[in-house]
Amino acid sequence: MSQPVGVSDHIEAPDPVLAALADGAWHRGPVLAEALGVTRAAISARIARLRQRGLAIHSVTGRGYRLAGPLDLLNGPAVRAALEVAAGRMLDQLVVLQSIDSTNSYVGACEDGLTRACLAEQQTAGRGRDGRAWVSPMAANLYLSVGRDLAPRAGALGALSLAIGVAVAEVLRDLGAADVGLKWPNDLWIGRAKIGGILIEARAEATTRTRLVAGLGLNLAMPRAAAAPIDQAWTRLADHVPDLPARSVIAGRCIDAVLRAIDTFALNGFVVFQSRWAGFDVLYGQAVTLFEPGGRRHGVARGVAADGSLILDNDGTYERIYSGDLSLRLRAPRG
Amino acid sequence: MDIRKLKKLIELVEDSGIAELEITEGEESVRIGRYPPASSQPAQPPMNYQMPPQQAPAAPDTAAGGSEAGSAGAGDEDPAESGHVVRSPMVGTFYRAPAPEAKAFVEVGDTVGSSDTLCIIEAMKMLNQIEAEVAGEIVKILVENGQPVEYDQPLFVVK
Repeated sequence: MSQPVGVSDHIEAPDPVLAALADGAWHRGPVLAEALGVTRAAISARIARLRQRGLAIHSVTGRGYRLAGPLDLLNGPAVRAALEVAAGRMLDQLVVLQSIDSTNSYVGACEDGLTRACLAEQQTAGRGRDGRAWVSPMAANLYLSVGRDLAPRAGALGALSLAIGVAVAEVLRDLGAADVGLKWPNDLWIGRAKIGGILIEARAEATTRTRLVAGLGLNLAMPRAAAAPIDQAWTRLADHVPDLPARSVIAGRCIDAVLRAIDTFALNGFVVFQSRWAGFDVLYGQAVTLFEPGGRRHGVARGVAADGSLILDNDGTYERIYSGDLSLRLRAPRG
Repeated sequence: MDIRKLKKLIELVEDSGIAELEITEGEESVRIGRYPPASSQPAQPPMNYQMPPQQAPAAPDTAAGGSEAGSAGAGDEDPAESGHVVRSPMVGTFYRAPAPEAKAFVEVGDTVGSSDTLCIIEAMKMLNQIEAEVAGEIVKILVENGQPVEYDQPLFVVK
């Protein structure tokens, strides 16, 4: 199968002023205006809009405008080129947007049954679990959602969220990041800090199909200033991998891995992923606290069961956990 | 009691016309009712197969039970009888709204279509939207927002 007839990738071009400034060099206003065929006033209006979107743009009389640093903008064809053949055929449509509320919402609203990957340079209402915000500044990280329809009732889908976590963790490892880990169910960690998160939305439509949207947020070059609202230890890939490939290449590899994980899971279930997941398990054997709506429980994490649930050891009583937030418990210092 | 045996018993009760079945086996005893208890108890047991307080013949020391639940019981049972019960397809946490501050998907009295979303059940960071399955009016919401739910637990009654 190739791309369905009539469906082509939807790639939004970046603002032309931003595209010109992306190299990080000085650009004089009149030169920009002439190159883009607009007035100088139009240029300064666009600069103001870009600043509103959170970009730091310096302006100096006589020298012009310059970004605080060069930007690596997404490039649709480069994303496609980074896909393996199989994933390239699976992907009906690649969508690259400049700004969107949430890539998961965008893909979820498409009801045409196509397999689709949506990347955005910026999310204005990025979401995590439980309605929490996902900090999504412009052109710095990866905000990706993959939508695919599965056969009706394709078994228990719960552990798919762990399978996708494994797939992305392997991408990070293969990019050269050391100490990549997963915190149940699928927080992506490097060392003891969070580098990414995955949120999956599923909708079983009676007997016809299950619509799946898998969202991934991955910190690549998160500016420190933008990260102020994040209330936990975080990190970014640029700090762990020297000479990081272009964002488009990383995006392509993630799309590839997520699509493959979805189909492998639909075919074989979690069994193919369980031991790979265990290899990334940062909580194994650790004292943890589980926060639930009703309260909290303590125990020792004992890995994941065949259905993806976390096994919590509470003084020898083993329990399977399906929901709730886990945190590592700091041991009280011994006096 | 073996979980499979319980499942069989539940199916038996569902397929039959009876409203309630109580079985005693040695020291263990289980009572299965076809209709969930009114959801007004502050600490509702997660599984409706357990004895609802207001139906217990002698429930000693149930502080929450008492007359309030008792009076709610009889009058509320009729709507469920002819309604469609939407059940949880999985173990997880029940959410009535897409986000903590957002408006609930449905309220009692709302009219819904068969493919309308009634709630989300979250398990392992997968948000599963649950559809109404049938068109009609929401007559009961049986679980409170943020509570854990078990497999097959009744969530809504649609009539």
